[in-house]
Amino acid sequence: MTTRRDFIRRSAVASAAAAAGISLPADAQNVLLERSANEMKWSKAPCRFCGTGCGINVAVKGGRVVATHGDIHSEVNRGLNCVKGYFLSKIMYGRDRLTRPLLRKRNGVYAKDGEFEPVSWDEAFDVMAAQFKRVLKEKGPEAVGMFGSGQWTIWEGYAANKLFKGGFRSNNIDPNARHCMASAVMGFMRTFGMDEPMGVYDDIEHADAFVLWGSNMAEMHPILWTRVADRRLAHPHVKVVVMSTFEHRSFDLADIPIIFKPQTDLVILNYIANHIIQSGKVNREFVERHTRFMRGNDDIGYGLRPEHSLQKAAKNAGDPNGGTDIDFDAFAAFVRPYTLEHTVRMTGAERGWLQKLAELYADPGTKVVSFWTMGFNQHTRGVWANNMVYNIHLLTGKIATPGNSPFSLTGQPSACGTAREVGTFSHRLPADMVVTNPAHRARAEEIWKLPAGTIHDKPGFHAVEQNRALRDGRLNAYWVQVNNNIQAGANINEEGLPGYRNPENFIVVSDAYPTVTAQAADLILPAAMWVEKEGAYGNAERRTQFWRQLVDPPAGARSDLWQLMEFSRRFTTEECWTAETLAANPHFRGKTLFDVLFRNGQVDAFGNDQRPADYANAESEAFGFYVQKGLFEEYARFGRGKGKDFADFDTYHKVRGLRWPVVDGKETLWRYREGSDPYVKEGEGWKFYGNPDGRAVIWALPYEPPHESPDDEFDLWLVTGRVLEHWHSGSMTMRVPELYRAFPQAPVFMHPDDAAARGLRRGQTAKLQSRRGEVVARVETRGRNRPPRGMVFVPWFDAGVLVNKLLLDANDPISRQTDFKKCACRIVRV
Amino acid sequence: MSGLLHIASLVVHHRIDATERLDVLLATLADTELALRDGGRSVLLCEGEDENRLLERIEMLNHVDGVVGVNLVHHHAECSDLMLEEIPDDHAP
Amino acid sequence: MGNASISFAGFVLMICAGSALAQDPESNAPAPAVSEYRSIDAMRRGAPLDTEPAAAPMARVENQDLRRKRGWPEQPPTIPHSVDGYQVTLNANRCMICHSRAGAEQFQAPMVSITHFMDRDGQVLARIAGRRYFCTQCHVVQTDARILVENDFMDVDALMER
Repeated sequence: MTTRRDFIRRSAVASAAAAAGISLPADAQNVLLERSANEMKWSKAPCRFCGTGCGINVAVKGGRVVATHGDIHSEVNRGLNCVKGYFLSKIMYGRDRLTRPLLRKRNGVYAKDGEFEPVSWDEAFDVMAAQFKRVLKEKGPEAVGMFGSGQWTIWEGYAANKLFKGGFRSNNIDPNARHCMASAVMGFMRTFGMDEPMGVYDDIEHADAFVLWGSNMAEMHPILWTRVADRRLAHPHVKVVVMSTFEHRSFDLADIPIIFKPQTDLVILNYIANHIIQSGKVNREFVERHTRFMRGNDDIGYGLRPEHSLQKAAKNAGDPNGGTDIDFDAFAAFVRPYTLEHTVRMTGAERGWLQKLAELYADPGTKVVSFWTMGFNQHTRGVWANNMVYNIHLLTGKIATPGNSPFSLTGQPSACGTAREVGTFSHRLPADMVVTNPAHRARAEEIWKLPAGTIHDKPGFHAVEQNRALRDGRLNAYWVQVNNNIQAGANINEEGLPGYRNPENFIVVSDAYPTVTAQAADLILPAAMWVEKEGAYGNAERRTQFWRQLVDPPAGARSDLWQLMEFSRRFTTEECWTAETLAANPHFRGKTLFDVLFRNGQVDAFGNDQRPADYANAESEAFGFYVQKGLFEEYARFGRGKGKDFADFDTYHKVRGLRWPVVDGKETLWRYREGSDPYVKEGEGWKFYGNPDGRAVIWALPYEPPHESPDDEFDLWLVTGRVLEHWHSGSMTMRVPELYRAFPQAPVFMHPDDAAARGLRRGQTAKLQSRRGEVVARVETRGRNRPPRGMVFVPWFDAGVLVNKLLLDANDPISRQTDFKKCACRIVRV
Repeated sequence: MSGLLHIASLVVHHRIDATERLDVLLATLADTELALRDGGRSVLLCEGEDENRLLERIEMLNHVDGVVGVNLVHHHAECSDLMLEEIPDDHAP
Repeated sequence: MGNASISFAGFVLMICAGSALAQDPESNAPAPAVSEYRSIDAMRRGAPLDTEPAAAPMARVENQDLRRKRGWPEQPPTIPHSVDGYQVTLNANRCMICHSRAGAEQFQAPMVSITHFMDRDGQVLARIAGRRYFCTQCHVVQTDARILVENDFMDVDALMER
C-alpha cells in the first residue's frame, strides 16, 4: 500500500521525466536521487554582528564557508539579513589573517621597542607567563588585568572570568561591553534589581507606537527596523517617534521627528513624567501595588581623574549611586518644573511634537515600545536616562505586556549572553551577583569548588580605569581579547596609547586580524573566528543561541577559549594564591590553575563521546573532554532557580535559541508578569522579583549638563557612532570588498552652512581638532546623516580616522560607561 | 486540516556548471527537492499549501545563474486530507 | 620598512606581506621610520599610530548600470548606479518607481524579486512588503575605492575549479 500523495508525487516525476527525455531508474520506487556525498552542508548559527541576533544558515564545502543566508525558521529575522549579514561568508577570508603569534623582539629576545617577529605558541606563552608571574610576584593580582568582550562566546567569557577572578584572584577583568551597555545594566539594577529586558521582539507586532530615544535602528538594528517598518506600514494608526540630536535614516519612517540639544533627553523624560501626572493619567493601582519612589543623588561628577576640576566640584562624586526614599507626592513635585515651556527652551524641539509624544505615553489605550541604545547609554547621565524611561512606563503601567515595552537594545551579539549574564565585569560574578557581596562570593566559590576567600572582595579596574592604570603604571600585565580598544576607547593620545606603550607594561592582544590594538601590543596571538569554533551568544531579547564548529581556523590560529585554558596550565596555585589559603586547603598544593578551574570534575564531566561525530571541535580534541558542555553546565548552575534558568546544553544545539528563564522546557516571553513568567504566582499581577519587596523603583533625577560643551575655541559638538555597512571598528567588514566599497572611509558629516562658513566644500579634506587630539577626514554635507548647525558626526569604523583621539574619557559615574556622543571640537581646512 | 496540497513537477534546463549552484539553492528550500537528473536537465518536485510559493520557486530557479529554462510539467492540487488516504500500490513487490 | 626584519630565517610570508600592505604602495611619502608605532593595520595606509594619515582618495560611486556577478544566489545584488538624493520615506519610495512591476519595463530596471512581496508569515501581498521597504538595508552602492586588503573567499564555482 502507499498513500495517494506518494502516488501523485511519482506520477508527477514520471511525466516530467518523459517531457525531459530522461529515462526513469529501474527501481521506480525511488523517485528521489540520493544526495551526493559532495554536497554542501548547511548548519545554523547566529549572525556574528549586532545584538539583534538574526538566525543564519551557513553552507560549508571543502572545509570552507561558501554561502550564508538568513534562516527562514528563525523567529528573529524569518529569512532576512542586513547587508553585513548577507556577506558573513567573507569575513574569515581577509588575506592578512593572523596565523602565527607575533612577539616584539630585538636581538632574539623580547623587547618592548622591538619589531614583531613570528614565534611558536610555546614561546609566546613562555614569555607571557613569565611576564604575568613577574608582575604577580612584584605587585600582586591588582596589577594584572584583562579586557574582554561582548563578542566572546558564552564559555569564553566564563573561562576568562574564572581564570582571572578565581585563578589569578584579580577582579581587573572588564569587557568592552562597558563601553556599550553598562548604563543599561545599572539602569536595570537600580529600577528592577535584575538585569535585561522584560519584553521581547514580539512586542513590535503588538505596539501602537514606537519611540526611538536616540537610537538609529535603521542602520544599527536593521532587521528589528524591518519589523517596525512592517508594523507601521501595514497599520496606519501606528505612530513612530524618532528622537536624536541630528537627523539620520531612521527619520525616514518618522511620524513625529524630534531633534533635541545634546543631553536634554533628560529634560524630555521628566517632562513626559510631569505630563502624565498633570493630566491625571497615572495608573494609580499599578503604581501603588508595584512601585516605590526614590530620590537619587545628583551632582555626581563625570568619572574623570580625581584631580580634574569637575570632579573636585562634584558634591556626590563619592556616592553617585546613592539615594533616599520618597513618596509619590515628592516625585510629582520634583518633576513639576519640567513644563512644556521649559522643555522647549532647553531642547530646542518643536512644541507640537513634544506634546504629541507625551500624549502617546499618557494615553492608556496606546501601547508603546520605547527603544534606545547608545544615545542613552554612552552618556554621562546614561543610568539616569535608563531609570527615567522606566519611570514613564511604570507610571502608566505600560510594561511587561505585549506591545508595552521599554526595550533596551543591545549593541553587541553577546553583551547580554556573555558579558552581562556571565558577569565578566570588574565588579560582577555570574547571574547578576557582585564581588562586594560576601554571600555572592561564597556562592561562586562553592560552585567553582574554590577555597573560601579566593575571590577578591573589591571591584577591579573598569574599562576607563584600565587605560588610566596602564598609563600610570599601576596595571602591568594585560590581555586583550576580541576587541579593538585602541580604536574604540576614548582619549587615545592621553590614556590608551601611552598606556599600551608604557615600558613597564606587557600587553597581549588576541585577534583574527592585525588591528591598531594589535599594533600597539607587545605580543599578538592569532585567534579563530565565529564558526571556526563551537560557540554560543545571547542576544538582546534574552535568546541564547548555539552553533557548531563548521570549518577549521587557518593553520596556527586558535580560539580564545583554547588560549585561556592553555595559558592556565602555566600557573600553579603557589604562584597565584596566598600561603594562608594553601595552608588551610592543602589539597590544592601543587595544582595548576588548569587543574583547579577546568579539571574540577564539573567542567571535565563530559567526554568527547558525547559530541556529535559529524562536527569538529578543536578545543575538546585538544583537552580531551567536551569543554563547551562542561563550562556551560557549570555556569548554568548559577542561574537555575534564580530567574535566569537555562535549558540543558544539548537542547540549544537543536533549537533556534530559547529566551530565558527556560523553566520546564518552556521559554519566557514577558518577565515579571503573571501568566507569562513562571516565577510570578497567580494573583500577583506583576512582580519585580529582582527586588526584595517585588516593586520596581521610580527614580527622581534631574537634568545635569554635559561634561564639555562647545565654546569659542572649539565651537562644534562632535558626535560619534556607526554606519550600516560596517561593524564597530571595521576589522571584519573593511576586509569584505562589497562592504568596503560601499563605504570605504569615514567622513565628517556636517551642515552645508557650517562647511561654507569655514571655506569647506563637500569632498574636501579637513582637520578635526579637540583639546585631546586631531584627525583628518573628508567633508560630507549631503549624506545619510544631517547634523544641525553647530554639530558634526564621525563614524568610528575607519582605522585611518581614529576619531576617539578627540574624545575625553568622561563617563557616567554610576556605570563608568564613556560618553561617546558629546565633546567639543573645531574643524579647519587642511 | 482542510487546505489544498499542491504537488508540482518541474523540468529545469541548465548548464552543467550550474549544477552546484542549483543544489545550493535547493538545499535552502524545504519544499522543493531534486527527483532526477541527467546532465543539464533536472526534474524537481515541489510541494506545499500555497500556490504562490510554487510561482515564487519557479522564479527563484530562473534566477540561478546558468539556468536556461524552468518548465512546469505537472501540477496537482487536492484537498490535503485526501492525500493521506491509503491506496493499493501497483508497484509493490 | 626595516630591512633588518627580512634577514631572520623562518620569517612568515604574512609578515612580509603584512609589512608591504602596511606601507601604502601608492604613497609617495618615504617609508615611515622604524618605530614601535609602525603600522601593521593596512587600513592605516602606512601611518604610525601617533600620527594621522592624509585622507584616503575620494571614492566615486560606480554609476555604470552594469549588473555585477553575485557570489551566491541569496546575495542581494549591489546597486550599479548612484542613489544620491533618492528618498525612501513613509511617503515615497524612489527605488520602486523603476523597480516595481509597473516601472520595470518602462525604465528597463530589474523588478524586485517576488520574495519582496511576501510578509513575515510568507503571505504574498499586492505591494512591496513593509519588511522589504527600506532597500538600502540590504542593497548598497559600490565605489571605486582601492581595496586595501584582498579577500580570499571562494564561491562554489571557484572551489570546484580548485
